Amino acid sequence: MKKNKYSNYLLIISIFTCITVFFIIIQSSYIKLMKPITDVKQSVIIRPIDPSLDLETLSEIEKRNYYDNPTQ
Amino acid sequence: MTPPSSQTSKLRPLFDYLRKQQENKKFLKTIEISGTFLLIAFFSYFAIRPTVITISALNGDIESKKILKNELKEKINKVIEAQDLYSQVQEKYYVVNSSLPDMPKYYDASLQLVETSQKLGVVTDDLTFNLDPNAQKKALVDTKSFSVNTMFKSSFNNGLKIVSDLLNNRRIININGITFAVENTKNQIATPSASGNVVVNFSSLFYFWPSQNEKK
Repeated sequence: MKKNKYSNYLLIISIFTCITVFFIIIQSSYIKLMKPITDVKQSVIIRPIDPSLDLETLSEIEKRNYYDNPTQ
Repeated sequence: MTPPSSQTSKLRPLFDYLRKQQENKKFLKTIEISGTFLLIAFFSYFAIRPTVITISALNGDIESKKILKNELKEKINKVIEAQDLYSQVQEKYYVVNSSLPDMPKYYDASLQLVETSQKLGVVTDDLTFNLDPNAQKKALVDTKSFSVNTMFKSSFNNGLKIVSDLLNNRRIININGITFAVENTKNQIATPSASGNVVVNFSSLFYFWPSQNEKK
C-alpha cells in the first residue's frame, strides 16, 4: 500500500517536471525570438528623420539684425 | 460437509496473493509512466531545448533583419529627399551658422552687443565673458553656451531699446536678467543724474553647437 502511495507521488512529480520543462523551453525560445526584434526597434540607426526643412523660419531668421565681422 | 468459515480461510491466501500481484502490477505501471515522463523531460531539456532556442534565435534574426531592411529603405529615401532639399538651401547656410554657429565666436558675440548699443549712440562700458561650462544651464540638446555680462550707461528708453534689439538679433541670445540702476558716484547721493541716465546691466547666454566630429 505504501509502495503505491510513493509511486503515485513520483508520477505527479514527473508530470509536473515535464510541464515545467515544457514552459521553460517555450519561455526561453520566446525570449530568443523577441530579443533581436526589440534590439532593432530600439536601435539608434532606425531613428526616423524628418527631411522637411522649415523655409519660413529660415527666411524669418534672415530678416533679423546681424552685424558681420568686418575681418571675415 | 465443511463449514463456510473454513472455506473462507482456505481462499483468503489466494485472494491476498492476487491482490498483491495486482498492486505490484499497478506499481510497476506507475513507475514505468513516471520514468517515461522523466525521460521526456530530460530529453526535452537537454536535446530539444537547445534546438528550439537556436531555431527561435535564427527566426528572430531574420525578422529583425526584415524590419531593419524596411526601415533603412525608408530612411534612405528620406535622406535622398533631404539631400535634394538641402542642396537647394545651401546658399543660406550662413544664416543658420550666424544664428547657431559651430564655434563659440566670442568676437561676433561681442560685436552684436557693442554694435546694437552703438547704433543708439551708447558706449558699452564693460563686457565680461564667463566661459565656465558648469555655470551655464543647458537649454538645447547638444548645444553649449557662454555667458556675457554687459554694462552701459544710457537713458532708460535707450536701454530698453537695446535689449529689445538684442532679442531681435539673428544670433540666439538668452537674456537671463536685466537690472536698471541710477548712477551712483562717490560724493553723490543715489539719484537720477541730470542727463537722466541709468546704469543698465544684463547677463546674456550665447549658444553654439559644436560639430559632431569635434565631440568624438
